[in-house]
Amino acid sequence: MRKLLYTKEISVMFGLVLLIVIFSILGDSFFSLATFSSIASVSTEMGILALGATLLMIAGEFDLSLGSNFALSGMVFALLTSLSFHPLGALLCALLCGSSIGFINGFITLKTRIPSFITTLGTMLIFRGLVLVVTDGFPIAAMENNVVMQFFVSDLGHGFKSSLLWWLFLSGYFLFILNYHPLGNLIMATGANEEAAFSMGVKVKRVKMLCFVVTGFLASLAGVIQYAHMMSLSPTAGEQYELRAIAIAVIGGTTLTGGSGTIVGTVLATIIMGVLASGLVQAGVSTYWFRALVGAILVMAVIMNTNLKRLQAQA
Amino acid sequence: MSMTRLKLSGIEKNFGPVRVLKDLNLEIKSGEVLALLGDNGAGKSTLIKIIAGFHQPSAGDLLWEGHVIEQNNFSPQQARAMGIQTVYQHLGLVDQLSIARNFFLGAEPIKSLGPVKWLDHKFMREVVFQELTLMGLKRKLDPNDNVSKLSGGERQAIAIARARFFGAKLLILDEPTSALSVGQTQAVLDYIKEAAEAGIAVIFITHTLHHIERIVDKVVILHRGSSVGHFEIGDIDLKQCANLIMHGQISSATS
Repeated sequence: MRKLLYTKEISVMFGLVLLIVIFSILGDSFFSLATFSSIASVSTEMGILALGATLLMIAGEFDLSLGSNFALSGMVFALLTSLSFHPLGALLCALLCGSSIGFINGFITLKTRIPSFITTLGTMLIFRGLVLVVTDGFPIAAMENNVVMQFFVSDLGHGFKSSLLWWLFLSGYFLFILNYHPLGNLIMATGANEEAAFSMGVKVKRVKMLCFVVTGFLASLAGVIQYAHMMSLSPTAGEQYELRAIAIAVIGGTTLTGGSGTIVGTVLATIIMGVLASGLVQAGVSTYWFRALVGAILVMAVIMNTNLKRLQAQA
Repeated sequence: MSMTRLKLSGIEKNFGPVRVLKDLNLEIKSGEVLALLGDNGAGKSTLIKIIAGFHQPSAGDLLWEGHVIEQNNFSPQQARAMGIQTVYQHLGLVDQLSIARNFFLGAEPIKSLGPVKWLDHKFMREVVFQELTLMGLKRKLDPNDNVSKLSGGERQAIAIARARFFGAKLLILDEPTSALSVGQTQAVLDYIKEAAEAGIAVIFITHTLHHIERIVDKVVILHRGSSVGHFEIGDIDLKQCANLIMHGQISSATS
């Protein structure tokens, strides 16, 4: 029990359980497989984006262009497949597009030494603008399914989609990298104290660049999955996703100052978002409350995490 | 027989128009403890950052075991590989990481199965536990504890243990005893003495000779970027030393 109290994810775990209990009381049919599958389906893309945001924040940087990257890379996949490209080739191009955006963010930030907050605010606007120009503001819809799309969103029964497995697999992978792989040590040290890490011989720029590229890659993957999921993509898809991804990471216990954060916390916080979205609908509350509640949870989570850290430091 | 580890000849460093170091020469042999003294802004930190591969000198040569170090690809990482281990005053350890993770930062032990590699946590814990026991710390530390929980003396002990474990030939300590209690200071000085007796050359940066005379062999005093004195420890007293640090000359100008 004592050990449990001192795990980093305790507050977010507590919040999740509390929300599930509240919504189960408010809506009779909340605690059901159907609800869980709908939570899973709204959580998947956001969850993948939040993994990237978490990784980069642990390394001490931000990516505000996540949402634009999501839309642009999804659009690349959508356009290429509608031009009857091979779906695998289209997927490759989309992932390359996302990774390149990550590389550009990293390159500008690390070369010019400006804060990544500013770099990616700029690229967020640039790439969103690009999407709007290319699509002329119209959404793109898929005429037919293809191999890649089926691969990402094939039905697993009870409304669960295969994309859920991808999200969980990626979460497990990053959990392993951060906690059990030497790279995780380098990423955390770089984010926590860049100069100290550098003086110990860590190639901090290379570590950060890697995180930027991986984050971009994940954003493009999420974009493709969203397109496969919805069979269409709006040019405004993913707007504010970057902020929501950062909010999720923070609710999960990742700090804005870098160096600490957990994948488990991020996954749980993603599920909190999904529970909130589905729960509000089932409880008959206007979904317009969603953003307001996310904001309230964000502030509460940070207060809890900060106080918990103080308690843990005293122990 | 002790051999020359590091020799600096004619080191200069400018940051833009500011001349931080002027024509600096010094030499240190294995097993020697050299105290680098100077007031704030004398250029001590810049000098050790040059030796540690952090900065490149504007002019002059560094000779490591008789060979000139190529400055173009000299980095903290290469310095570490050569056996130059630096313990910075504020940058020694990463607070958010455990002692074990800090100890092996940048040189993590790996286990692997085919292409899959992972950290050898067990080995890390065992080595750190063993090294900390060797240092004879008063408080029992858990290698999994976060560094943020440690006292100043414990941090220095871990940083020194780490440098020794990774085969330091030259250990650079940036004000290791500032902000330490008297007891902790004595303990840290003992660690340094042991390191020197094991054949490691030690450069010790500090504001004052007070307290540390018993472990130091040589003293080099910096004043506004220039070396103003080069002494064996028996040849200088505290008062002369203080005058050199403050005024750059051995007798106080006012007396």
